[in-house]
Amino acid sequence: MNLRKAFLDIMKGEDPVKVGWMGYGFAPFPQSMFHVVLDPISFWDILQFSGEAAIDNWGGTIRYLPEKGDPGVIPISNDENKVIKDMEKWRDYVHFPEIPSLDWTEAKKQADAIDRETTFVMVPSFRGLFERAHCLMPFEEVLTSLYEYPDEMDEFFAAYAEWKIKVFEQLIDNLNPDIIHSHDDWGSRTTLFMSPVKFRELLKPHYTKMYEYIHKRGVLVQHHSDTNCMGIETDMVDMGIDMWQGVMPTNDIQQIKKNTGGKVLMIGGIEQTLIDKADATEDVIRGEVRRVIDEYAPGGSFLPCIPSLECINTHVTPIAIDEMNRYGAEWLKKQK
Amino acid sequence: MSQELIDAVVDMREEDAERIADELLESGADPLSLLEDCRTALGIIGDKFAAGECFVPELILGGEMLRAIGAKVKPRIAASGEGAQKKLGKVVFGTVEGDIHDIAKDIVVFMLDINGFEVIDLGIDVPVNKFVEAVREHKPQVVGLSGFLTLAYDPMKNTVQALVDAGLRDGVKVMIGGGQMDDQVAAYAKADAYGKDAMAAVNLSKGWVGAK
Repeated sequence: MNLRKAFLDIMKGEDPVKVGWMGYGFAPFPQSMFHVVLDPISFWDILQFSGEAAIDNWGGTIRYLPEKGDPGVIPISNDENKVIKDMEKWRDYVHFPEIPSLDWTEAKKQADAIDRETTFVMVPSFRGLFERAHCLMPFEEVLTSLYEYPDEMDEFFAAYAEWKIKVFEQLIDNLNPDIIHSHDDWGSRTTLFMSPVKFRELLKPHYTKMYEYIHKRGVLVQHHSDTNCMGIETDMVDMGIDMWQGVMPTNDIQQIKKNTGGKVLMIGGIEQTLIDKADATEDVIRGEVRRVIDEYAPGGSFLPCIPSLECINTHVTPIAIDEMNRYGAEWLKKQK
Repeated sequence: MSQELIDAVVDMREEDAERIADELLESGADPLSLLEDCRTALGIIGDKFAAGECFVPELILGGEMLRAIGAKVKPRIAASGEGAQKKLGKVVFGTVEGDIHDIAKDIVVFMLDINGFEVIDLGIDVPVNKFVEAVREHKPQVVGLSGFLTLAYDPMKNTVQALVDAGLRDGVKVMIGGGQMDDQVAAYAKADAYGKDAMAAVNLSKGWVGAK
């Protein structure tokens, strides 16, 4: 079994039964950090910062205290420390940092060691357009500014998209990845953060441009949003998203398949509220994985995965992944 | 009742809503009726939210309009001697220990406030004993526990248990909410209910205090 080929076939909408593979959505990605080759830009822009109230390259305040269990860098933007103090004058406050000359040696070494015949090189790009906005001002202000200052928000997103394209350029020039994992949460567990109309007006055009650039360079787009995105699924197709990683079961996954004609590979489906518990038993974890495969795998355009990639309760992830591959194979046999 | 004001708020026409409110007040309209119109509009926005026809920004903007118009009418209500409106009830709210996410909490606190509740906001990363002390001091009808991550499950459970141990559990209803929460987590934490969003939290609280 060439997992890379099987994954690409499923991504193109082939029936997994015909392809002969159903299993963990990240199986064809060698495990590095979060299954990606970490690049120096991500480190410089985000991952280098830690502490109770560190100031990042943009002047934003973040908190990252891994010893206190923080799963990642958390933006802390409030009235006192916000970068954008007046959305109408955002250009006076936002200073796009120049990407410095960075050492790519280690990342290149990691990428070069990956077998491109059977597996993929995927690199991350964190802080999408919406996430960057709420690093620079309080979350509620971002939401209300979408309505109160749509022109300024549009200008900000356009300018930031240009900056992101420069990042993509360097990622591709240096690491020649197969896939870019682009991170931007667009909603909560139950709903989008904005109406589909607002999304189309303010985010879609800029994402379309960003993802057009990635495609033009021959790279696939995996968009991460472990949220509910019902209502913008066909926009995802228009924007050039090849894979939506993080799909939560609060989405109507079968309906999305119909609405998109299977043109976006959904990776996720697991109900984390059920399994990511200190006392979650093996039976519960494996049972949830089986439900997900039984319910969403038929017809294709879906691979099981933990929406946030890793469970906080560390005993859960390996059991879930094992069951995705074990039951995935069993499910395939049942279909024949 | 001013349908024009209600429509302006529901349609998110912030400047129009404030202008209409000014005109109504100038023409001698009852200031309390303006607040009622805003609450009616917020009810419509809440229903649309529940139906998936509008989203969190509209909830916040609607609330901000109510607050802005409230600031205009407040002096007139005070001058008329009718005094402040009675609060519907009291809610102690916070993000549980070990979790520092404040987005969902702030939105729910805001929505409870503009819907007539007195909210004691304990902030983020709130230790169990702080919830217990706040319930003892403020005697709320409702306790709201917020959390974004799965690691909030056990602190939620511990907080509810601490209320039991302190002999305070029977006097309050406990709701939970946030990123990774659902009914199963509510059952696990022995809370009374899970609120899937800010409007659900408002509706649960209203139900528990017997308000419409």
